[in-house]
Amino acid sequence: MGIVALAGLSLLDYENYRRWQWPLYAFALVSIAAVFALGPVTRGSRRWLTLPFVRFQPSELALVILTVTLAAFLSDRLQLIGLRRMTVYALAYMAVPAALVFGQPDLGTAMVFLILMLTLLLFYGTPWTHFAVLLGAAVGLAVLVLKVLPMAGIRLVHSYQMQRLFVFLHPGHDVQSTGYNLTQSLIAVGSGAFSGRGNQATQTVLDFLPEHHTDFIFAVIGERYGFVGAAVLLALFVVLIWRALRIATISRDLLGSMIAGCIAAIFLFEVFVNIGMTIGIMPITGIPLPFVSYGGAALITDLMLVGLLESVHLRGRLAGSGG
Amino acid sequence: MSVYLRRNRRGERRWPIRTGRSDRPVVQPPSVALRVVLVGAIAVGLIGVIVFRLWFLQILSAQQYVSQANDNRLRTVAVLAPRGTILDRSGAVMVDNRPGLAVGIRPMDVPSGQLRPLVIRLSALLRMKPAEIRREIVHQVGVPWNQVRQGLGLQYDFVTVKQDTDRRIVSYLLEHTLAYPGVEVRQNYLRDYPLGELGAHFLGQLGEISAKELTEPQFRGYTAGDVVGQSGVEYTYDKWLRGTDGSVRVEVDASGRPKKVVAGGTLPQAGDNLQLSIDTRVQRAAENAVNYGINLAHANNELRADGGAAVVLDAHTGEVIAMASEPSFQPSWFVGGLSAKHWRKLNVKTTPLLDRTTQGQYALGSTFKVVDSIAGLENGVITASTTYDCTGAYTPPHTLDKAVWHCWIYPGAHGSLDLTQAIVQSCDVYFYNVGYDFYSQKGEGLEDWAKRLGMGHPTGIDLPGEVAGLVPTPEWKNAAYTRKTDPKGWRIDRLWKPGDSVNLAIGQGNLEATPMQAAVTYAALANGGYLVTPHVGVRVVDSQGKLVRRLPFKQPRSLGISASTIATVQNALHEAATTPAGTSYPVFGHYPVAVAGKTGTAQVAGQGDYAWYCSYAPANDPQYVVVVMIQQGGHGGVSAAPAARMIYDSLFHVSGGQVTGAVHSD
Repeated sequence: MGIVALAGLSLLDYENYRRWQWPLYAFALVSIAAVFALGPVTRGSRRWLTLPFVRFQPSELALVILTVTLAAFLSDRLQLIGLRRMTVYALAYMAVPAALVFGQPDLGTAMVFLILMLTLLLFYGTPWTHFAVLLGAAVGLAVLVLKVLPMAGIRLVHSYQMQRLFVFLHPGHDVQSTGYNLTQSLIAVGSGAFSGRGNQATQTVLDFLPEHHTDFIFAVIGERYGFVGAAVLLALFVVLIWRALRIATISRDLLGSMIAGCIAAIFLFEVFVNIGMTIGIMPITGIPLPFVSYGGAALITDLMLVGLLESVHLRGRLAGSGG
Repeated sequence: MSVYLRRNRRGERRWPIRTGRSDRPVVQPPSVALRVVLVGAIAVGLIGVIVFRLWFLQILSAQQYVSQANDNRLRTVAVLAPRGTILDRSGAVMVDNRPGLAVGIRPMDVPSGQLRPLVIRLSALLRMKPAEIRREIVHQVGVPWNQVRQGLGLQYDFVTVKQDTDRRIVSYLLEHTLAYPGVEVRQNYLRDYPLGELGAHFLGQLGEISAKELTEPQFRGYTAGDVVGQSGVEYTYDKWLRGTDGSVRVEVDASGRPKKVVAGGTLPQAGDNLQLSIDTRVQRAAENAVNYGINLAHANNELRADGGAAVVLDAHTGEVIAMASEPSFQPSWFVGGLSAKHWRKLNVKTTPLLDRTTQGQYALGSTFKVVDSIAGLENGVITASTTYDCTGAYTPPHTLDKAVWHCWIYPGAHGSLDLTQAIVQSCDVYFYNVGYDFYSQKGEGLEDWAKRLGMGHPTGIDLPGEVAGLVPTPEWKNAAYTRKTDPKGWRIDRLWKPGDSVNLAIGQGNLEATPMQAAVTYAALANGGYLVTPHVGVRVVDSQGKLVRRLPFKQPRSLGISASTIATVQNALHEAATTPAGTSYPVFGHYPVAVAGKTGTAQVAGQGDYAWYCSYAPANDPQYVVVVMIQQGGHGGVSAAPAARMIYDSLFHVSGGQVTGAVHSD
């Protein structure tokens, strides 16, 4: 199904998204919102929609949709480059779905949305000063949410998210409960050593590390195949990101560049955050490792993103050769 | 169509920029390459961070994480070693092992929310209180009950609920496994006592090691949860008996469930067997003898007789041939946990758990006169030919209160006697005089000899809980009577007065000794003046009976008593048992083996007299020391001496033979 989506998207001229951007945007918002009403609760959060034939995760699909629609929205307004208004528009454009996803709660995907927006703004040509202001605002907001509001008794961040942050800042604390995943993950990756433990692997085989098919899949690779295996996997991601960036440069127009660059940034972000949490350099979030983590929806999303890349690539070449 | 000019930083117009629509001319803003490079650089940086971190984890600290992973997955499960058996001196088994069935719960396998009803159902089946089972679970898991109930903090632990379970209950459980999820039956080793209550006191019991015991040097190297000897020889020789637990290395998953056994375990090594100096035949005779003595006392209207003790020592080595304390109990009551019913039986006024031979201390009465004699002769206070005149009553020469001490024969009188006759007839007045002679001599000649002969300090027997007894001295009195303990008369009572020496001389007053101490004193007399260290353990043998270790004991120590003193006192004791005037002549006068012994009747305030008989035999070549004490048994010659005779019957294979009669003498 993912392959079909990949092929379909690569054949479809991405120019079409410009035409359909508003209906697509509306669909993304509605489907995410529908989760609140219809989705079942799994592990404390609602992320899924069950349709008659398929069960899908609207936030994942929305990731693909928002990539193209925001890119289309911005590239339609190239004449407004550099205006403060545009940055605010883009912010608002993304804030709605991000807030909805954050409320599911799915902090990881909400962060991907924000990265997506930042990348598009970057490729759009937003002045550096705006980024500086955004950065300042983000820091201020973080302080507000993590320090000031809790004192005032308002909690926007769930306690488990606070705990994860705390554990990240204090590794080795409370190894039995909140710090358990991180500790076990480090042991798994570390014990893989240079060439891995292969079938002797125990950390992930004997369930010491929970979620080892999904969020902590990299720990499995690290333990079984060691530094070598991890390096090979990283190399593959480097190739993917490099290809995406390359496509961005040979795209026939800014929309294509924006889409390709954005996809590169999404992959980079997801890879860094996921591997980073496995090896203790990032806090634990529910962001999957692209193409590797178990989970149909995420895989389809990844393949659709590659389809978009191919779409840009095909037309970029066509544009270069004679269009 | 709109064309805008973009300005660079210097305000120059640079590139015309158009909207990116495909139907219009396409112009690439040059910034794309720059931004791609920027994103690329970020990518390189982030990937670089990951690679460095991986290098650190997997190459530099790999060893540490490998060992942590192994700690995670490998558990060492102990395999219990069967405890060694305990044998008597001829190799007969006194304490054995038997396989038992323990019922326990694996809380993790109990479906959530069902632990409480399960415990209640199980308690009904095992005839325990639900609270007891809960206490066991909490104690063994180490997590509070309300957390256990919610399934929190549980490893894959097995909680033993009942150690020794009836086979019928076990088969019921095995037939109804579905009704008792998480309940398991395990095999274990339990102590078995083929001889019943024989030797219950010195054999001792087992129990889980307590937090306090873990800090004792005796239990260095033990871990919590170990079952160790709590009393008797089980305690003293625990490290020989316990063997070495084996272990199995098991690979477990995150919830502690065993997955497979991996190499690297060790086989359990059974404990070594302990051979005692006890002769089960004599031990049985001794226990019967004490009960016989109690019955004799009852028959003689000493109805308060309620307990007693007997000690049989090898006179030369100090080996304990038998040591009996009555009332006794079944050591098997302690196997698998003491039930409430048995606990009540043990906690009664007659204190069956008390080992009266080493843990009970009593006034010695006339049996102490042997100490007077040795001390008097050795210190030159008297000679063998010193005579005193017994008028039936005695008053120390220089006292103010003119208190009168009577001889047991009062209102009769012994007349003039020498030392031998004084011992034979147990004349009190004679020894009142000796006591007063020691008093007027100043110093502590008598007290010192009592201590040298083994009183006032533990004998050093290889059993825990031995008490020291008490030899009163002027210093002790001065320290014992203070304003606090004796607010009215402490200024007077703390002084050592002539009466104290007089009392001490007949084994009364504050003097207290254990039957074991009395046996050691008489052994010193019997073996020619050597102080022995009594002991029960002799050697450690392995399961094939091969000697592992001969247990070390202090060699008998010479007390430097002159041969003439020994001969004089030995002769007097012999005559006391075998000449018609002797106090135990009715019991031993016609006995086929020559016995030398001294009766004793110790008065205890508010209680009946304590009957003693301290003796050894054969008189001309002493081998065994036999000491019998019957609490509130009346006259020593009435209850204690016949009981001693019963023990001699067993020692010398004498059958039958009636006691010819009894005199109500001291």
